[in-house]
Amino acid sequence: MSWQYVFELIQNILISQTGMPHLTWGQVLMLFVSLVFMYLAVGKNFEPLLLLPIGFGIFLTNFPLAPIMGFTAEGNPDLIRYFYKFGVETEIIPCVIFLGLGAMTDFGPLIANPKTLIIGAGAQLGVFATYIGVLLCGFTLKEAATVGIIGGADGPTTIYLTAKLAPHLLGANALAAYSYMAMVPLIQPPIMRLMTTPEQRRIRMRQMRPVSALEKLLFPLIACALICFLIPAVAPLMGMFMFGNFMRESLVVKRLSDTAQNSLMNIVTIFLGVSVGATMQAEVFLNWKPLLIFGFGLLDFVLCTAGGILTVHIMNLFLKEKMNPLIGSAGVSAVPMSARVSHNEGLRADPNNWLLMHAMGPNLAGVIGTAGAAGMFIAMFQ
Amino acid sequence: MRCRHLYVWALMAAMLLPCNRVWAAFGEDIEAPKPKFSQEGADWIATLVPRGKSTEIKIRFHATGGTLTAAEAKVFAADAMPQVDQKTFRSDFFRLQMTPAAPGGDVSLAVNSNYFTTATELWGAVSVNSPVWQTTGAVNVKNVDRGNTLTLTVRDGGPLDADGQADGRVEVICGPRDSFWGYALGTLFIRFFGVFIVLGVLEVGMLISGRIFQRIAARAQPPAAQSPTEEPPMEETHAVAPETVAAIALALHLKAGAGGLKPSMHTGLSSGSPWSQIGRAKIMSDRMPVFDRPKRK
Repeated sequence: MSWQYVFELIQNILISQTGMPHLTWGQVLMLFVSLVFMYLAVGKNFEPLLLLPIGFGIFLTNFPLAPIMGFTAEGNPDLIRYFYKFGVETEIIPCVIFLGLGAMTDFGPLIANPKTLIIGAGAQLGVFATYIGVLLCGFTLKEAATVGIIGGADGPTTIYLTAKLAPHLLGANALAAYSYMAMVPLIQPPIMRLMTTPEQRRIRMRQMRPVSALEKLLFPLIACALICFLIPAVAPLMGMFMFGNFMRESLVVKRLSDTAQNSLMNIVTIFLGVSVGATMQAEVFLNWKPLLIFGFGLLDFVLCTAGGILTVHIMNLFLKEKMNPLIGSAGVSAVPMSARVSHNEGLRADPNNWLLMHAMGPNLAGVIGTAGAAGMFIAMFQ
Repeated sequence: MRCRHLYVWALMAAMLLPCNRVWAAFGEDIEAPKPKFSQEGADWIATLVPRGKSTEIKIRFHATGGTLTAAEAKVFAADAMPQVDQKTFRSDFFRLQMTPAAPGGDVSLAVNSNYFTTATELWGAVSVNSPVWQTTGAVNVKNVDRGNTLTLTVRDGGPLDADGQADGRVEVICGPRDSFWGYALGTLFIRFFGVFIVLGVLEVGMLISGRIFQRIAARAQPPAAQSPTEEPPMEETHAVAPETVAAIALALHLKAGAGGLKPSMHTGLSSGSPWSQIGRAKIMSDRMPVFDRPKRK
């Protein structure tokens, strides 16, 4: 065995069996991006439950030759491609997450004050306005719809719609949605102050009526029936959401409700996060589109916040008992962060004004409104 | 607005600035239809997923006064027709070859689909020498059960015949066209208000059911509670002002915070008024189940 043969052997191993010679600048950049998101999750506590697995998914998928998100020689999916194929492509995981969210949700504030549902609809302004802006930038109709829905501030709905209409944008859309959801306390307050006067911010709202257990029990059935009749396209999401809530309010399947809220939700969150992150391979992700999606996503959040506040202003023209316009910003979903932001802004204006429960109404209405908007988009392309 | 929030706006502006460059970068037409053709008798049928849709549609081509011999998709390079926005041709372009009954004769071409609307037009190159892409003047007729049909008469060697010669072969290059922005904005407007309508209906449903439940709850309450005006008002309801409640709460907090409870618990001596002692006893009895081991699950 000559030295030359040994060198050739080593060279062959290095070239064909290690990733180093295949590493591209794009992959290096994406590894850096993944580290940024993991830092935001770990160091800054920004939506860590989602940004951490997404960040790690990006990290893992950008190593050359790593059998993570591709297919084997026999045509079988690699590890995370399996999660993606059966969890995201089939749209199962977003629906299961909605099941858990339903099991976690107390619709009491919304049932006590159904007027706030209209705020949830008004806060979809940004979704539709952004759609136009994105179309002007050369995106296709389906792509524009998926970018528009980011402003709804509802992660599972964004993923559900994107997986259905424009799967190639899944990573960018999900990342934009969750990043801006984490930034709600930074994005919303300036808009809230800009669109309200100090007097309006000090409006006190009447204590809400108590809601009986029977009302809470029947709400998911009534709401599910009405929504499924009017927008059948959104039945998978809303059906699971209301099913989870029905389990919670029935009080007879506590074990199932607890599982949906905790174990099941946690399991699917892991697979969702890693799968979504793994779609962000350098060759797919590095172009102008993700940057634009992030830009329009921010604009979307701003317009949705403004739309919610504007809706309250318009409603106040007709209402005897005025509502505090600060609760309008909670019309973007982002439960419960945006309600908390409304509450905190209310406290800044009047330290004795407790808006949290009033803001939860539009907050929950925002979840239904965003799912409704997603259903409208799905129906539009059917 | 504080300066620290300015970065949010700066970030948004920075991300949206490259819009014009991006337009050119999006060269890949990922939604371009890929029609598949089949024959049904003398008719040709194109099956395709048009732009902005997720489901397949069918377009049927039928010739009268001649024979439709071939139908295929016509692919234009993005810069081949600068005057045409390909997005408005959501169902693709077609090259149709027909044989008229006699050279120089007329052939009537009918293009039918459930996907067409009354606003759909059939566009094509109307001049052979200097092709100008515009509406062919096809007549749009709405059928009750078969969607809309666009009918066009083409003369062999006429302006719509791509080879321009009366040689017994007619070749038409055309595409059904809809107003892209009309569709995008129109449907969007309707759907935005659709969300209001859906949530409005839900609101009405909840208001009605809420009233019913409130009545049921009122009936279920004991009579004393149903007619509070007949009963003498309870002393606590009007006697205790919010300020008083706050003062009592503050006093309790200060007392507990100052360690006032501790000595009395250990010594058994009274350190407060009787009502505060009752309160303390209640608090302690509420805590007891935590330590009640047999009752633990």
